[in-house]
Amino acid sequence: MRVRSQRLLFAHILGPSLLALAVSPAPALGQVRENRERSEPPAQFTFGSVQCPEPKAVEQAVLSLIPPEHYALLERGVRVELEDLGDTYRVTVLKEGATVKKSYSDPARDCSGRTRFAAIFAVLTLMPPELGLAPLAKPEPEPAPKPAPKPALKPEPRPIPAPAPVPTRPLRPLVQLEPSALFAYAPAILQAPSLHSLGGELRVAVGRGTLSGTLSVAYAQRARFDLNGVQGDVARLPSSVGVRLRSDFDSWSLAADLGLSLVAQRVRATNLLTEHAASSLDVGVRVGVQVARQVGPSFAPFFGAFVWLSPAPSEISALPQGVIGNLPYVWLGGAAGVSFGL
Amino acid sequence: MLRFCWLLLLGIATASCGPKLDVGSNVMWATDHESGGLDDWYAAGKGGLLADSADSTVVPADDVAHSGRYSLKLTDLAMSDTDGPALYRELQAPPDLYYSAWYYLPRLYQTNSQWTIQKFRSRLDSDPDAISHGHDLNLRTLPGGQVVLYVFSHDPAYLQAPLADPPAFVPVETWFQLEVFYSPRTDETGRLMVWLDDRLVYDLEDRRTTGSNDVLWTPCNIGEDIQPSPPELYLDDAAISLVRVTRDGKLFADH
Repeated sequence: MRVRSQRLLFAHILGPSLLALAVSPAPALGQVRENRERSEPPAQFTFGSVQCPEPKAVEQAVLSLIPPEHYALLERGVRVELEDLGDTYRVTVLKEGATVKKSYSDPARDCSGRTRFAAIFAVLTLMPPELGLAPLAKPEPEPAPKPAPKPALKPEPRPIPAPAPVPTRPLRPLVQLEPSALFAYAPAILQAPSLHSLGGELRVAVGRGTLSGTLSVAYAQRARFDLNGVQGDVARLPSSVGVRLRSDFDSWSLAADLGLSLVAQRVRATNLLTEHAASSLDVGVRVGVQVARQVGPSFAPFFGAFVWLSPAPSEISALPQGVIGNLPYVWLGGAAGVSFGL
Repeated sequence: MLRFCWLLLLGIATASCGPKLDVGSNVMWATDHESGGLDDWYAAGKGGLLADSADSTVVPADDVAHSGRYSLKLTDLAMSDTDGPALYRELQAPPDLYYSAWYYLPRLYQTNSQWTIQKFRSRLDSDPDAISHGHDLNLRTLPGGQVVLYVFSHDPAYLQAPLADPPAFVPVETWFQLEVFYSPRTDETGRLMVWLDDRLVYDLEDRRTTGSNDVLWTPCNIGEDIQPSPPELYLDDAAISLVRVTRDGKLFADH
């Protein structure tokens, strides 16, 4: 059980490549040492007149972490120096003129823990897991975590594994193009008839942050109505300009839209003696919510719901009745489409 | 964000009055006499003055009007039960239509004979120059001073229709609207309905209503003995439509 937990810990710290090299055959540390005995160990490369950690123990630990076939890596001017500074200790790795230093805090003076950390730091510096057997990196890596201060009574402080690298989310595209198909329904309210219509919308969202600007234009196909015996239909061309508030949850995102809408609409009668189409431009508000799932870097299917509000819709008039009603105050709708990032 | 909301509210406030969309009309023909003439009655060669002589006049008047400035003043100097000032619109094989007109009696008259203010007539197929009488809308003064509207058919099978109950009294010195649904039929499937100020007062169905496919709608002022003489009548806002105009109806779109 202890061997297994050590293995997991090292696997976590060293990363998959080193794990594959050092641990994939799933041996315990002792078994690795047996394998190493079949190869020639390199000359001494760990120095320091310290006892905690002891240079020899650190060197053994380093050798146990490196597959024997890669021992040659330690023969090219590699030098590991250890300094005991009391509550802290410092590990310096030199290779081909490059130097990487790291100090660790250990007030408890846990020598075996220092040995392990020094060895891991040395191995990670010489063999960065993401590079496999790449040469010594020039910039200072972040090889091992700082051990947390431990209570004095705790005999074996467990090292805190290095924090997993935070996945950096790629920048959102500056411009999102969002074509969608929509369905809209207007309930009969006061003198407004009940209508329903299908259509499409193209929305453009500009901005990478939580808040972005939006611009949209839509077309809703002709919706039929019957008002006081006058039958007709209305085609709408809603457009809007507004703002969007967006939150991301992993690959999902939730957006809320608020905008000023301008709706160009064309109304015509279909059962009158003389018929003509009339157009108007209504001002209102568009409110919407949208849920999208990021599938690729610039591709996100979405669905949403919206409300078009027209507080003062156009009146519809016919002779001889006069005003027979008005266009809807409220349209409720749903949309589904795909967002393309540019 | 706050500024955006203010702009949003401002935009909505400025658009608080929705425009009016005129989508069409079921009015076939209409006149409000605001041209100051009889042009509309002559429109398309389908109407005009049916009879005019030195003894009767039809002139635009601006002393009273139901809408706008002008109406038509019909003065009956003929003192005849068949002749007098009359206008007409003629329709060939029309569908079932509504005929509406506003009338104004400038004073109370005593009717010692029938007083016809509207006629539905037709040309005879055998003699296009001859016009046969159909249904008339007449006024009669009652002893109490009320003026009652009734329907008379020149077809011997029908003659005078029973008076409406309650009676269809027309006002004096007040504009009133007469609207007639006229279904012209040469067989006994025709129908005539009369509304007085939006109240249905006569509904005469299953009857012959015309002698041919031709219909002449004739607002008029014809009476042989109406006192004091000559009787005057004002007419305004006349229309023929596919649907009822009603008192609140509009004959013309806003400009």
